[in-house]
Amino acid sequence: MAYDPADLRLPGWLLRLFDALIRLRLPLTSGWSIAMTRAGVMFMLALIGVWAASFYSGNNLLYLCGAVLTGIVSAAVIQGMRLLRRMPAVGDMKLPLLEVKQVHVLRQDLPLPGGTSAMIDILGSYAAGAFNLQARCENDAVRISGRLRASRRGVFQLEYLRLQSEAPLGLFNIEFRQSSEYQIYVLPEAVPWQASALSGAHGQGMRDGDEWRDLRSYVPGDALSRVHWRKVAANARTDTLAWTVKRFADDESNQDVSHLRVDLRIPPQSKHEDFERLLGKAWFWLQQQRGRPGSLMLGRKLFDIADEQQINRAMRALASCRPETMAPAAGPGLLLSIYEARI
Amino acid sequence: MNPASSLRAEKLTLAVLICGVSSLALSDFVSPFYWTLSVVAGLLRLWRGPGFSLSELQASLIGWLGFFWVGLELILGRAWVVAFTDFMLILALAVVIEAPTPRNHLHRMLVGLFLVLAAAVLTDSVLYVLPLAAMMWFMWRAAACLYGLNWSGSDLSAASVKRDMRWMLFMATLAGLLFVVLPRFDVHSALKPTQPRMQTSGFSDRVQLGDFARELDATVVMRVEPAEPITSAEDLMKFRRQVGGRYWRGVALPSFTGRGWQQQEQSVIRHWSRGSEVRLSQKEDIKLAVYREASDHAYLQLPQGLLRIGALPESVRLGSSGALSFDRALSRRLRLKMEISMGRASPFSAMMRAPDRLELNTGKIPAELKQWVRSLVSGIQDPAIALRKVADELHGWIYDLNAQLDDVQPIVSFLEKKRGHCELYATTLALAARELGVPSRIVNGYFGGEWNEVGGFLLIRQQHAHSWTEVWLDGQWQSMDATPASRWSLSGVRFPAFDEVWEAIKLNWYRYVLEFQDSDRTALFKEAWQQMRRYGLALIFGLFLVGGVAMLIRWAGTLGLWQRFQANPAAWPLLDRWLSNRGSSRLPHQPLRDVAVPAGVHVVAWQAFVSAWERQAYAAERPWKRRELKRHLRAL
Repeated sequence: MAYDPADLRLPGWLLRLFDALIRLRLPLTSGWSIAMTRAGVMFMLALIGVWAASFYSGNNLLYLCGAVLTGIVSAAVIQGMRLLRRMPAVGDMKLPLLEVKQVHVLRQDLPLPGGTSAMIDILGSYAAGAFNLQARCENDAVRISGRLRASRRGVFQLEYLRLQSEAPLGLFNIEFRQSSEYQIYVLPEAVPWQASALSGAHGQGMRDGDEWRDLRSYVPGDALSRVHWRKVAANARTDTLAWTVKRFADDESNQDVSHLRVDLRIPPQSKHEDFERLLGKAWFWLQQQRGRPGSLMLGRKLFDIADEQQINRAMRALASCRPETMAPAAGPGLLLSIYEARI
Repeated sequence: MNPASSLRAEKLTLAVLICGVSSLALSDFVSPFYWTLSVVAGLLRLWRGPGFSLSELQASLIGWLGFFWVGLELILGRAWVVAFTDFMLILALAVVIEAPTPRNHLHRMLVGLFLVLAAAVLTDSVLYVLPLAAMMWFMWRAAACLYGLNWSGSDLSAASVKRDMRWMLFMATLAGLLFVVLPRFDVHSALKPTQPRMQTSGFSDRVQLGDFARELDATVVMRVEPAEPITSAEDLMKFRRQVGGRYWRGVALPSFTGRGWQQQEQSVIRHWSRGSEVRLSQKEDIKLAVYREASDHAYLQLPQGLLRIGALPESVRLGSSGALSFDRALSRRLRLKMEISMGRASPFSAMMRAPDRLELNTGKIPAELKQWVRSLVSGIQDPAIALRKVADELHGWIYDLNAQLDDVQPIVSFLEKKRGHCELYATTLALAARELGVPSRIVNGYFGGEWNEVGGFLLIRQQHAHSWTEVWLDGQWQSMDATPASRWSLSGVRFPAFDEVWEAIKLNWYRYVLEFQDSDRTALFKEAWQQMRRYGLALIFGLFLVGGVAMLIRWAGTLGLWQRFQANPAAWPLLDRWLSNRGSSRLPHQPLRDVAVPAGVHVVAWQAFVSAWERQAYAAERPWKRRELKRHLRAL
């Protein structure tokens, strides 16, 4: 932004002094803290000077000037705090499902009444990583954008969420540190695999004469020929980066792969990567099949993938999955195992 | 950077700077040339846009030239305050026309802020509140605009004016609250006397007679109001009668030079230190708050019947001639609390010394005057009666501010022409008294004043400055005034009605802003509490009423009633005229869909139009403006 006293070509020692003052972050109330920007340092020094002159001189016009400048500072701080308080909660931000080592781009528009124009930094931290998002607030809406990446799989409690903004005047950096119960699921990296290749009845390619029935979200590994490009282009016009993939009526006819059993046992000679790859396959399958009648048996746990709540539980189970010593319960469908893969 | 945002920042930062220049222009210490130059350059910049600019180097060259120019001014004897403001305004000029860079925006905001702060010290005009309030608005908008520039993606859009207005209200309220609540400290006395005020009262401790034009100067010297609020009109009228028509005694001049009067070296009878009170009597009577304008002399103007002066802002001394003056001239506005008696006799009279040889000196009295006095009072033995006769004679002469008098012998000239101003009348009477063997001197001060009906206070202007005579009779100094009464019908105020309102505003500015003190805070809270008790019920009722009306308006807004009310009356007649021109007509309140298709309009197009009309008319969409309806009709 075009608002830096460094533009005034101040001497280096003064800028260093400013920077030292910028590092001072003063707590306001629980969860709130404030620091100055360089411009804020100048403004506050001027304000202190005005008040010192007022108290010394008793000049009521200087009192008035000091009161006006204090009014500006107070309004800036209060407005900044109101802005951060009104920001959507992390649960409403709809963070994307993270996959290990995958970069996920978030770009989301949410309503934010109040008409504030501001930029907000959203910093989150959890055991497997941290993220830094940016929220652009203007015209009663906020656009949250950024990239997220996780280093390892698991279900992680969000340690903190820090919202920082210099709005509305660029004088103060106000920080709101939220403690959140929000949990981040870091799922395994999806591993594409051809269920039909195993079953001999189901594939990713388009079949001649077959009509697509509905759309689902794109999953890494989906065949590009199945991407609905016109829909993607329409979404791009509304600034949503959502790829959709066609689902064909013929897909439904293959009922036997709507049930998947995953064997969570690891043979002694296997590596941990094999286990992760196994989970990645299960995750890929779940994404493809979600919303359709079917079930996922993860070790001894069974999930109905037609039910959204059950899918969430399944994802949580996938994210927090640990090797087991017992074979999966018996049932219909495809069995995924490090030992072997068979119907 | 978006060009539109850049242009907006340019205008806003320029506005901040112009606010600073305007506030400083209110000061007496600013050369009009310099601030006019900056304002004109600012207006040209607004008009011509960033194209009207100099490079940074050229602008800094102007700044340096200004620096050397001001140095030269100081060498040539310019007052340092004026030279300082000159330099600040030259700097402002350089910043105004500098190329629009981020650095320039910061320069403008800093210089603008500094000028506003400097003006707080260098002016006390009530108009100062205008640039201050404007600066609050523009500084907020400018800082917000600068904050929104150069973000990744694009510049942030500007916040709505309506929203910022609400915040402005918040800021103004908070500023007012802080102003009232924050304590005032006593260290101010160390700095306050150095706060310069250029204004002079015109009051002088010498009199020069002769041929020079005098004007009725409407400049305000003092404002006098009740120290405690008076609510009833009757009490206010009583106060007006009691305070008006008094002499405000300044300095006594005993030494006549032949062409005027001079002060004499006088001994100090008594001394009062700062913060103490001058109490001449234990009686308590009429309590006054006197606002004395900034002045370059040290004399206090004492009303007739003075009993007490409370909490002196500076130590004062009482001279042997009865003049009360500060130890050092306070060149700033003062608020003094005084008490006066109902009667006009003052205990001060008793404290004045007996006359000395100067007050009996007849050496410089013109022979013509001596002869005139002798002829006038021949046969009268009692000096008091003789003096009364002289005064009565003078009362019958003509009051003339611009009588052409002989510079060498003004009194002789005055006696010949029988016209002149108060100093001539006072001088003639005083010299006549000496000729009659009565010690005398003249006194400079003020008389009367005018009552401000709007603010309910007494206003003493420069035009009320007056000279009168003091004579030593019956063992004490007594006032005598020989000036014709026609003098008091003259006024130099050009627009009396406007002036009354303006002076009332200024008094409130002084009372509640410039001279606001800790004691006023308590009084203000007490007054607010009294008002609350008195009007609390009405206030609550009013709030409910306003709230109810606001809710009603809001409710009407949600129903779209306003849109219907606003849009349809303007649109329906136009539509009806258009229909009648095409051979169709519509009865009042007849829906448009029931009207026959106008001639020359395709049915499908008409139906589409009717559908669109109904959508806007019944608030499903934004109501059409007149020009939008015309556009739709043209399309048909």
